[in-house]
Amino acid sequence: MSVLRDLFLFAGLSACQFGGPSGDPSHYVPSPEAGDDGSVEVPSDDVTVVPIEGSSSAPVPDSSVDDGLESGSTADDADIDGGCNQTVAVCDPVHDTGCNPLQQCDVNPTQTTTPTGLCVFNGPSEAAVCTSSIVNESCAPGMTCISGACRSLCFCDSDCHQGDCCTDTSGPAGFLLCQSCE
Amino acid sequence: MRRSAVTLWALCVVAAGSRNAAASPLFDLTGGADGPGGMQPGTIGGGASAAYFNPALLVDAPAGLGVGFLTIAEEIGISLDGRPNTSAAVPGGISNAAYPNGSPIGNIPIPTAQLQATHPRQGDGSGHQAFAYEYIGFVARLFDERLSLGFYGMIPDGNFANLTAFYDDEREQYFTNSLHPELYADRLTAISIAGGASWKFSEALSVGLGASLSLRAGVGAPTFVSNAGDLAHLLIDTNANVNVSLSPNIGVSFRPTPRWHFTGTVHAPEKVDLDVNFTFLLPSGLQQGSSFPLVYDYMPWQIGAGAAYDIVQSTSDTLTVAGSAVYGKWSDYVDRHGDAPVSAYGWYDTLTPTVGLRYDHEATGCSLDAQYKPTPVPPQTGRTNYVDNNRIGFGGGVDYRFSMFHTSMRVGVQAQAYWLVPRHQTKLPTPAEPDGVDHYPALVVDEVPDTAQVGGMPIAGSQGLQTNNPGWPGFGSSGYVLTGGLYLTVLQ
Repeated sequence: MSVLRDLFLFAGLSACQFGGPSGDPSHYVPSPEAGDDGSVEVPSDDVTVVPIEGSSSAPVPDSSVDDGLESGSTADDADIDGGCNQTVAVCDPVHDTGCNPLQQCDVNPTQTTTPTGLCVFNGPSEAAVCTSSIVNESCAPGMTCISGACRSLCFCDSDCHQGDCCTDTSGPAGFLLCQSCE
Repeated sequence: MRRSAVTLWALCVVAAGSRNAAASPLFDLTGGADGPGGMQPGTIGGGASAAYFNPALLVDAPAGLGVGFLTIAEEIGISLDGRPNTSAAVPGGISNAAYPNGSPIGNIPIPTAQLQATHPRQGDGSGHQAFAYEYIGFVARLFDERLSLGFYGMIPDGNFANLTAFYDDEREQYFTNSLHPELYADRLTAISIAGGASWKFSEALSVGLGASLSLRAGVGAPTFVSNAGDLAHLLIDTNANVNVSLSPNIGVSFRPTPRWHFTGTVHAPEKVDLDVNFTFLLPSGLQQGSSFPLVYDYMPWQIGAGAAYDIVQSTSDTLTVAGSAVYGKWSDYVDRHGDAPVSAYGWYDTLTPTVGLRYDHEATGCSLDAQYKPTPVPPQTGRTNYVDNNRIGFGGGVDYRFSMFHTSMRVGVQAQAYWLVPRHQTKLPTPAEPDGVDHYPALVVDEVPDTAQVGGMPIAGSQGLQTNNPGWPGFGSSGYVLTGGLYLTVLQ
């Protein structure tokens, strides 16, 4: 029976675990922007959205854009805070970036104070006119549906096709539309 | 002899180095279901299952053909702690949430209230299932009984193999929103087919080499999305390929005296690989795709050693006491999505001891085993929710040999009962991250960063931790697994 006892003793002693966790799960991991001192660069809130109308972070009435363009300057001339490099919340409907591969970025019609994008599905319209909703639109990426027609969104002339200029202010708040330069 | 052993090792190393491997977590749970092996099949032979557990023991198995029936019932309960209040709930209206600089916040969580209505927490668990299997095995002798060949296969009724992937963290909210037993569930239908050969160098020493069979598959799915708003009418092709793969194991059996018996085994890592590739083509001409690996039924390197001693030896009775231990290198574990646990929650390597008795009286034999298997999973106090428990098991069986129509046969019954020791774990708090950056990746993720915005406006209710991690703020697990079966062997 001593053999049996020894085997049970061996079993009791050998029921163990080895290795396992290493490191403190609550260890602080600096962000990639952190400097060598370990400090973390806190992103500034005012980089969120830069309204195309001016440098102020405060919303600017649409009329200010209209006034500037109506005085003869183009969007490029006005080069409103970066021109083509405007930052739009959520996603960029002009360049169709910021959404997953299955969706495209359209203008968010519910946000009128700051230019804001909305990720929607692309669905062809069976009607002659384009359609859009908060979940889908029938226009191609980079365009938005205005009064039943697909129109190209822009921030500056380089966003438009050759021969078109970024001067139409009849689009959604915070965005311009391409139209013939003539 | 030394050259032969080196050759066997070389074969093992070469085979283990290939990406193709097999999977047999089912074998490890059922043990030697076709004979007296029971829960120590690597130490006590007697059936064709030695082809997997220790092919060197094929020399101890009677030559013949065996068939059997086996059933497994798992009743593993997972109880989730209640969410203390609504402060950690993901608010609604955040489908377009973004960081202040406009970049997306990653995987947008589903509003908690909506999630609970459509996929309630733990509403789709997988810890309560029953499975049935048939097994077949044979052992043959060649070359004046120096060479033994064996085959052992266990085929589940119904689906030949279930391969079910799930995430072990907050990402599972998009699917079952439940926790699942990490080492059971779909692993109980792993493909389990093995073959082996043993060479008897002398009456005292035999060495065996075996391999278990599995699959390595690749699936490609190029897809045309004509209308992303109507995904019911996708156009899709598939390109699938399936390769058979092998994972080796090696065993040795040594009897220095008539009463003592020592064994050793090495099993290479085993898994089923599935590579998934998909592409989406949109009417605009935009085409994007991705590929990712899925890993099922992972078993790590396992090294076993065992000893048996005949306390009683007579012409009609034999009483044997046996003990064995299996070292499992679970620290190499990769989960079903091919992710290894983070170092702060790295898995343990484990040593699983088993002790037991074997008693033979004339034509009747019986076995009794006890096993303790420590869990390799550390307490899940962080982001991940790997569910596993320490396990205590008892097994037993009876077999009877007889002759009918001038044919020798053996019939037997065996069963195992495993108790999963209750376990509970509470998540560690995630410190505040006012800059909106995840500084504690090992802890529960704040899925709505404090700085997140919608339309340039802060999100109400985003301060502090918001999570849909189904394991938050804690969970417990316990249960049992029962196996049992009948077998019949027609002896040569």
